[in-house]
Amino acid sequence: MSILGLKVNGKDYEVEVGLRTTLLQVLRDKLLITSPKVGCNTGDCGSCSVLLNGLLVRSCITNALSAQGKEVLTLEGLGEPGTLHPLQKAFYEYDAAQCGFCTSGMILSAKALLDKKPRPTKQEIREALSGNLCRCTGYFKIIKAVMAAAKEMQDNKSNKKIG
Amino acid sequence: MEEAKFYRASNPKDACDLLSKYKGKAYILAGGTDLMVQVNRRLIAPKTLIYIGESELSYIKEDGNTVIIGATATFSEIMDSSMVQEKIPLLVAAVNHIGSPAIRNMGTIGGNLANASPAADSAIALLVLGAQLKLISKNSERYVDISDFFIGPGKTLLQPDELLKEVVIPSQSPMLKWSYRKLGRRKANTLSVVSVAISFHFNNGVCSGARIGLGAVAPTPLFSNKAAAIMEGKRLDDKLIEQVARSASEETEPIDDLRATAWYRQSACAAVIKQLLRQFVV
Amino acid sequence: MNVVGKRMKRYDGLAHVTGKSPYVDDVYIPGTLTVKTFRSPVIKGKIHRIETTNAERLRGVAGVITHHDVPHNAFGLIADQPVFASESVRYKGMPIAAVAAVDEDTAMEALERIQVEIEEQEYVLDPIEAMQPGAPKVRPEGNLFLFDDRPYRKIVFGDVEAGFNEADFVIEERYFHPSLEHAPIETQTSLAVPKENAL
Repeated sequence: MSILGLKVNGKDYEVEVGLRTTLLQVLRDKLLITSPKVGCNTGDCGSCSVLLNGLLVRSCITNALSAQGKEVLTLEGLGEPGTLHPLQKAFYEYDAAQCGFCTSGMILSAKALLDKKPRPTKQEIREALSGNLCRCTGYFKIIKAVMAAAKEMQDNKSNKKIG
Repeated sequence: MEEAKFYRASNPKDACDLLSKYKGKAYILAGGTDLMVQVNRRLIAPKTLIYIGESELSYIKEDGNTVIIGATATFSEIMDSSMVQEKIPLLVAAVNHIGSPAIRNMGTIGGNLANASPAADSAIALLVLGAQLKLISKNSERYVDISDFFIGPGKTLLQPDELLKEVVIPSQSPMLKWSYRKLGRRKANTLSVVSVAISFHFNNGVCSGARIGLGAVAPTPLFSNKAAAIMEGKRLDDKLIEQVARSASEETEPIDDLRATAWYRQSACAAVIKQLLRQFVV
Repeated sequence: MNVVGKRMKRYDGLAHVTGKSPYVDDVYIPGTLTVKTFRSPVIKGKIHRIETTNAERLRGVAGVITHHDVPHNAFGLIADQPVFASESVRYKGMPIAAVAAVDEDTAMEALERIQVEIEEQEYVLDPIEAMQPGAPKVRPEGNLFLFDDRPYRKIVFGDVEAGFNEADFVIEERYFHPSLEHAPIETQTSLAVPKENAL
């Protein structure tokens, strides 16, 4: 067993992990941060996606010890009811979550895109979300929500400049 | 009970010292997109991991007419490099289709090659680009042609104490014609069912120096020598394209598996080659 | 009825987008055991022996159950599907035993210690083949499921013969459609919490 030190959603943690422990297990089982989900456990479905030092990764196949000293962002760290991130707000308003299982991964993948490309085209959104499977919605509303969030974030930026 | 160990190699020499000490009993971890899948599926239970993700192996640099990519450069880093986009666009085209954005952020070129899947997307492009691989160990180093590197499904020339350090790739000539296509059961986030990379020189409608790489149609990434040779000095027309496609598909040794049948792979391989070559007919 | 015709937001939408929706595996109750199932490695066969003692002895295993432990070993819309296979196995993956242990690793190790002797038998995988006389029997009663004495469902609306007579063209074809399951990504999970006289 080894000790892993990392930051999650702004808080520092130290947890005991084994050689085979994944970042997903650290988050869900040890820290009880349950928004990243176990969907396939092989990196294919995207429900476990988190941001690691700002980079979109699959936590289910990230060896926990390789995350030593790094920062993790999960959905809980993005926003709460009352302080929603524009992506969360848009997903809510555009009904982009049905069973909701893929939602955490979808929103974080969208965030990773908007961090790099604040004005994505529809095609760029589809490519950015190509690693996130959704079995319920048919993706249409998800893409709409991301476009709406991107627009709102751009509007906020220009409002800040004016004000 | 044997204590499990996680080593962080600070540099390639560290990694080699560890490999030499553990003599094939340790697993190398970079992005983990292949290794951790096997761990999660309980196919392997490593007792020792040598982590090379922070071992000064993720460089991407140019040296004259050559691009040198360190083994742990991720696919995203490779795709985003403007130098790579300019000098070896064929590799970018191939790597663009690997997995998904998150997988490309984690997966490394060294891992893709060392894992040696017959469908390895980067391998097909590198075969056509004529890449060389630098293999190092505690007391030695050698260069290996990528066309010799793969010896079977999941098997390479790497010795138990050897590390793949970097991939050395000649820059593509700006006049080179090239194309890449990957077929999968889905449009994205999918393993190759058949992949094809082609490059050739084209002067007044006449081909020379053609190179054809085929993926997922043989026990290893396939370099289609005979088919490429047929193109030498010939005019690119439908008749030649037919011959090339037929010859290439005869060189394949595909299998039936979860994703497709051997028959489909052979037929699709020929069809994709024709499709790619027809783009260039004047 | 004061919501009919109104545009509503999903009642669980806010919880979904903030990661607060509690899926089964998100519920943490200290001391929860993990259950793993031993499943048939063969497609069809006759079970001769099920040996679970070695699994039961493994440290961390709370219990191992088989068909012996199920009072009424049948469920389904038509209750003919066993919870655990007892005499025979009818499909690859059919549950034969289950282990409850302190964690997943222990449960998986316990599964490896279960021994089952199955005499493999001839199987049929194609429904058309299964309908032919002499096809291997999937179940003792035979391979045809009867809807009121008939091995098919007949649905008739109106006068079909008259329709055919009036038609310009009659096209006869055989259509196959796979069964579709709506399968959300959440894997099948359940959590059972014993309370006083209830679960």
